[in-house]
Amino acid sequence: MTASNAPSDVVLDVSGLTKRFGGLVAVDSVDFQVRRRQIVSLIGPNGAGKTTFFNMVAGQYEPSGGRVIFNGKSLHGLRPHQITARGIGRTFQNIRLFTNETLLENVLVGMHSRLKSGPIASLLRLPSQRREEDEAREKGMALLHLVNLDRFANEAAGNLPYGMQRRLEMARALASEPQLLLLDEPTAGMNPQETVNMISLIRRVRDEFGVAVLLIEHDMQVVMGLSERVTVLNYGQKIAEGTPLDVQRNDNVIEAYLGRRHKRPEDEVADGGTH
Amino acid sequence: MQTDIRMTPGRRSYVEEPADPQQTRNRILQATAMAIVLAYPFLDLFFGWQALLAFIPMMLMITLALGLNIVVGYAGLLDLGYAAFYAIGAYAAAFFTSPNSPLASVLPGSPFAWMQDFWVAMIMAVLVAGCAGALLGAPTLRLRGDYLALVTLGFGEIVPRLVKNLEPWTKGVKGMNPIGRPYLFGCQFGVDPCEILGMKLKLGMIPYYYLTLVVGAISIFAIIRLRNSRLGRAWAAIRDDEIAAQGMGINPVTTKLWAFSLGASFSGATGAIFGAYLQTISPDQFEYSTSVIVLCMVILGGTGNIWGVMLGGLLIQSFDRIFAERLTGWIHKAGALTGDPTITAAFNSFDLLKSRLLVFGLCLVLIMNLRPQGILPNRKRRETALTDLPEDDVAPDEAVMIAGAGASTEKSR
Repeated sequence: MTASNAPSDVVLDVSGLTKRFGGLVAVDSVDFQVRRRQIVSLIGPNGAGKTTFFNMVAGQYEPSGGRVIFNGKSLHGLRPHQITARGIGRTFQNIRLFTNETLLENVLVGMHSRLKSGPIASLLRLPSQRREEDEAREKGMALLHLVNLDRFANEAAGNLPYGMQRRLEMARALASEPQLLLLDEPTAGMNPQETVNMISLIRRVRDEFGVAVLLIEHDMQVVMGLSERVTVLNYGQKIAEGTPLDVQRNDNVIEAYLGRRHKRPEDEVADGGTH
Repeated sequence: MQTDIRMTPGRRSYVEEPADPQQTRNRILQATAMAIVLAYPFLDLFFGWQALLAFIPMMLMITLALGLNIVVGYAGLLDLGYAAFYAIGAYAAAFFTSPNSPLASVLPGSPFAWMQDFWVAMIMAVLVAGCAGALLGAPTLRLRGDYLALVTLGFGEIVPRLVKNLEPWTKGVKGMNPIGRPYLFGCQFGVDPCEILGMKLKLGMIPYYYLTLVVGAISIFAIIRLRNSRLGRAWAAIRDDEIAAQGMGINPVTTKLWAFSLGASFSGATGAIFGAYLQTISPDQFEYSTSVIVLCMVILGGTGNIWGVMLGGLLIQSFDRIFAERLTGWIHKAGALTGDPTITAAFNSFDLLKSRLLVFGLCLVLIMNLRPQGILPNRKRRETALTDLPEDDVAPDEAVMIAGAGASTEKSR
């Protein structure tokens, strides 16, 4: 962790972020930072508020309190599509592909905010529009190639098996040229081999596109193998933050995952001994 | 090996289509169909089919269905009041060109007299209908599915009612007539004789046939281009998953407004031609049943597939306007041939024209059960999905290596 504290280095700066659903506080005043080119994991037991946190950053939910600063600018009041245009790309926990469209079309939809041609230019097929389309298609194929799906470019996305759908979602998110990539459980439901593939893909994407990656993950192998920093949520509150090793040793975290240990006198002695 | 994927795409042929006999056959089929459509009025004259007058409104209805297909098929917004835009188009054109319109006492002699020309009025009709589409779209954008359908249904009811009640402008239930005819190359459409290049020709309604054909062809052309554009992809994305679409940077509000507005503008042109062709328009031509028939054409043929929509339209309309009547005639003849009075009477009591809504309903139920996606579905999904493949036919690290290699990767499976 050699990241400097210069403000420009922070791509996402969240402070006091809160979401209430009626009486339930799903996310409770969470402070959180992601630096450029950093891979950060958000973990926590089920219902800890991880996806709610994501949805607030991506603009799907309006926060009940707190603020989200992206690249030095507040995202307050922006609609999801505007946030994508600002440079936050995302994938979804339950894959949400455009199943009737081809793989290439899915990726092209991802590029929406980076393309300009309006309906009139498309109707007249102006040279500028044609050039833009050609470039977009080439770039789309390159992205499909990155996730090793270019063979199926003209297949309907709904026909892909599960693991490939996750990879396609990743390519689609990258198509919006994000500076921050939000991945909601990118390896959920994958077999060990696919998981290993996904880990190297995420790392590779960070290296080549220079994006910061924020991921929600349950698979500890992924979390520990991939992330530079880990933040742990429980009941909407941040209970720990640090390097994967720090977090693994953190008592609060162990308690949140495994439950409180019934303390006996000899344990207290043992605890004292370790500190 | 720091290749920037964005910079070095390495031209790959994503459009490569092997020449296959199926395609050649399709080409021939298309060319034949086109030739028949182009030559139809003369074939009709030659063989004495006398169906030209049925074909013109039929093609207008199909064009209408193509416009509705943008809203329903592409953007996935169920619109039950599409006939309202058709009415708005027809009335807009009539407003400018009809001697019955209040404008008729103002325009002639004024600097705006050119507005009374049919072609100008038709373009106006397109613009007015497009604006009306955007106007209706605006308040409905927050609504989804059933709720949206109900609001469009309401709009479809309001427009004919407005037309009925705004008598000073629309002449109420009596309707407006006559309506300005298109004029081209010295030929007033539908008025004989036509003088073209000094020749006096009796063309009858043939010019309308070609006008309708041209407008239909332009519509198809425009719709295909739109479908394969950034906006067309945004429509599909909104239809498939609105939340994911927003997450991809698509503004659902403007995307839906474009769908409503462009969809409506096609009905504007159609309405203008329809008015000029019939020479009279009245509110009852634009009732709810028109919206439903057009929607049926879209759904029956295959929502989202323009060829399907055209086929659906052709089937419904040709039955409605041609075959119901002719089939009845043939059945009566068949009855008479038996020579038996009771059988003849029984056959004569059979009237498809009277029961055409029944037949129509039965066919709809039947087709929707047999082919819920329509006759020509939007995209043929492969029967054997890719799940038959090995999950990942490349070794873990190899996969990433290949992904990064940039060139020569046609990994055959």
